[in-house]
Order: sequence, then C-alpha cells, then structure tokens
Amino acid sequence: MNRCIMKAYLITFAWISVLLLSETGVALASQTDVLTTLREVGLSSATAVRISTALELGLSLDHLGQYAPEEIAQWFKVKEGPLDDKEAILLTITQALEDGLPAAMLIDKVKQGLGQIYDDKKNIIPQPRHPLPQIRHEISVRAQLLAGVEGLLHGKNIFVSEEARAGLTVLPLRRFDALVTNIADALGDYLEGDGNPYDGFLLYQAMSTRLRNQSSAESVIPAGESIIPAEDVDLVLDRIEPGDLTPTVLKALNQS
Amino acid sequence: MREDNLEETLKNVLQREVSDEAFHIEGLEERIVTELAGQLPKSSPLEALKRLLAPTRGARLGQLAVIGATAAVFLVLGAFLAGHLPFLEGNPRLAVTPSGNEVLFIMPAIGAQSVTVVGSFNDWEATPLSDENGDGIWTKSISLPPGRYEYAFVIDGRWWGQDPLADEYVRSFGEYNSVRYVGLAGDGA
Repeated sequence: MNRCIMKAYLITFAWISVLLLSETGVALASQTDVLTTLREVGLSSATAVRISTALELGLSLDHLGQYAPEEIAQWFKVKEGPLDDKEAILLTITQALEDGLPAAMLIDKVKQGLGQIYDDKKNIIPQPRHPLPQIRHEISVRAQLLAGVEGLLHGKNIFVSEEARAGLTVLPLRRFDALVTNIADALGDYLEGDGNPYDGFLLYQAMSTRLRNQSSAESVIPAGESIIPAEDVDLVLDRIEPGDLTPTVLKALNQS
Repeated sequence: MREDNLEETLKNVLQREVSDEAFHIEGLEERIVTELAGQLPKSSPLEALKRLLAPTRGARLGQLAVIGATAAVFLVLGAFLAGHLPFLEGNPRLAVTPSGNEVLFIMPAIGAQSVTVVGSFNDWEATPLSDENGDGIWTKSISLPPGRYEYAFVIDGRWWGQDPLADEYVRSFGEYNSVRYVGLAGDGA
C-alpha cells in the first residue's frame, strides 16, 4: 500500500482515539463540575454526591426535561436564599429521580420560581423571583402528586412495558411518564388555582381536559411520535374515576 | 414632431431591429452546449478514480479521500459505541424536533419600555418582543413544536399572565400564567 495512505490511516486512528477519549473525559468532567457547584452552594459532600448521582440517573432516563445537571446545580449557586431551602428543593427533586419519577415537571417549576429579575440597568438580580420556601412547598406537593398518580395508574393495572405481567396493560416508558406528568401537573394546577380537593368531578375534569388537549396538540406530529396518543387518554379516562382522585390529592397534600 | 408620434416611431424602429437580428440568437443556447460537449474529454468513472489516486496532485486527493472515509466510519462506530446515535437511542434530547409552528405572541403595551415573554419554551428566560412602528403593539413570532406551553409576558418588569389569545390560564406561585396548545386546531399557531 502506498506509504502516504498508510500514514493517513495512522493519523486518522490517532484522531479517532483522541475523540473517543475526550468524549469519556467530558462526561466525567461534567459530573465533577456538578459536584463542585453543589459544594459551592454549601451542601455537604455526601448530599452533593447523592444529588449529582440522581441528576445523572435522571438524565439517562430523560427525566430532567430540557435541562442539564450542570444548569440545575448552577441555579442554586447563583440565586440567594437560605441553604436549608435550597437543599430541601434539591432533595425533593433527588427523591423523585431516585424513585424513577419523571421529575421534568418539578424542575421546570423550580426554574419558573427562581426566575430572573432585572434591575433598572437590565442586570440580573441574584434574588429568586419567588421566595424559596414557596418554591419548596409547591415542589413538595407536586412531587407527592407524581408519586400518587404513578401509584394510582399501577392500581388501575397500567404499567410500564418492562413491568409486563399477565393481566396488566403496559405502555412504553415515555408514554407512561407523559401520563404521570400531565395528570399530576393538571391536578397541581387545579389545587394551586384554589380548586376544592374534595370535588372529584372537577379534579377529573381538570385531568381529562389536560389529557385531551395535550393529545390533540400532539396529533399533528407524524404518526408514532406522539407521547400521549388518544388510546392512552381513553384508557386513563376509562379506568380512573372521579372518586379515585380525591384520595390521591389529599394524600399528596398531607404528605407534602 | 408631436410627442405621441415620436413614441410610436421609436417603438416601430426598435421592433424592426429586434426582428432583423433575431436569427442570431435563435438556438444560441443549443449551439453553445453542442460546441462545449465536443471539446470536453470523455471520461469513465474508472478513469476518474485513477486520476484521483494518481501520483503527484492526485495522490494528495486520494489521501484526503481515505482520511475522510475512514474518519466517517470510525465516527459512526464511536458514536454507536457511546450509545449516542439518536435514531438508535430514542433519546428525545437528541431526537429530531418535529417541524415547528410559528406562534405569534402579541401584547398591547402603550408607553412600555420593554416587553418580554417568558415560558416553558424558553426555560423561563426573557425573549424580547418588538414594537418597530411605535404603535404600542409588541409582537414576537416563535417557532415551537406541537405541545403545551405555559408562559407570561413581563412588561417593564411586571408579570402579565393573562394573554387574551391563550387557550387556558393556570395559577402558579400566586400569579396567572397563560397556556397555549401548539398544534391544536384553532390555537392560533
């Protein structure tokens, strides 16, 4: 073989090796960055490790939504506020991720709560938009709702594909997560809008409206890409009754 | 000579000249293409490959082709091993976004210094609206994939969560947020 071509092969091998090694290095560096940032927030090493591990797990399961672990850690470093509130919010997210719950909705809510405020010169002020205790409470209720809704779906024999057993209805993970997220979010919005937790019919209406709207919006996506197909909506509305929702919501309110 | 007569005369002269010379340009394109085809050397794909791999300048090209092809093969292999191929992994962070819908955000705010929109589509970080003609109607068009989006306007630092164009409203941290379902029939998207 031509010596030039041999040389070309060697150069290519070297480049590919560098590329593959650097990719692994970037992943490790990224987790180290999260840990460092969490320690800079003021958290203990053990807590920081637990949170960063959960965030990595959430990332691998696509339970963080559009956010990266580094971003989430950074928010708490940048924003001013009591350390125990920051820790409680992060641990609520961590617990949800450790339980395998789709925590993207919680993280988005935290981002909304922390928000951005500008001074007259359009500089970002480090204060959160809403007080941390308020965010902490809101996140806690919604995390309990996520767990409650997942339990409710399991109680109605609706499971994720990996949990398939005889007599169960199984859904792919993304579709199951989408149901849990949207039902919990709809119930959370209902409660936050001063809705009566004892009114099962209004809770049911909030849930069904959300699922139907979400499903209709996604129906314009080419076939196979929708995460809440109409059949899943029918399945949920068929199995869950208004009377099921009040106990779920009350339990979430009591445990938060 | 009257002005309308002059115009008529000029028109006639121009028409006559164009028709007299028209034979020069008839079939001109075909004649040029035929002539050029006759001058071009005929080459088979094999000859082209030989030229590419030939010594001197061709050797460098061949070298580059080998580097490129090998790099492509190894990059695909590397990405596969790293589990990063979106179509194999199904990771929505890497997946192709469904084609977006242009969603128009409009907020009347006469005399405002700044109007922004924050929402779940921009990580709750401000996207400015503009009022180019100064009529107090601030607008911004944003391309969004189908789905549900919560948002609010911020007018001179004040939260404004009740957009008349919203599909619904929710309360969040004691304030209203608007909601739009993009992709839903009649959503204004």
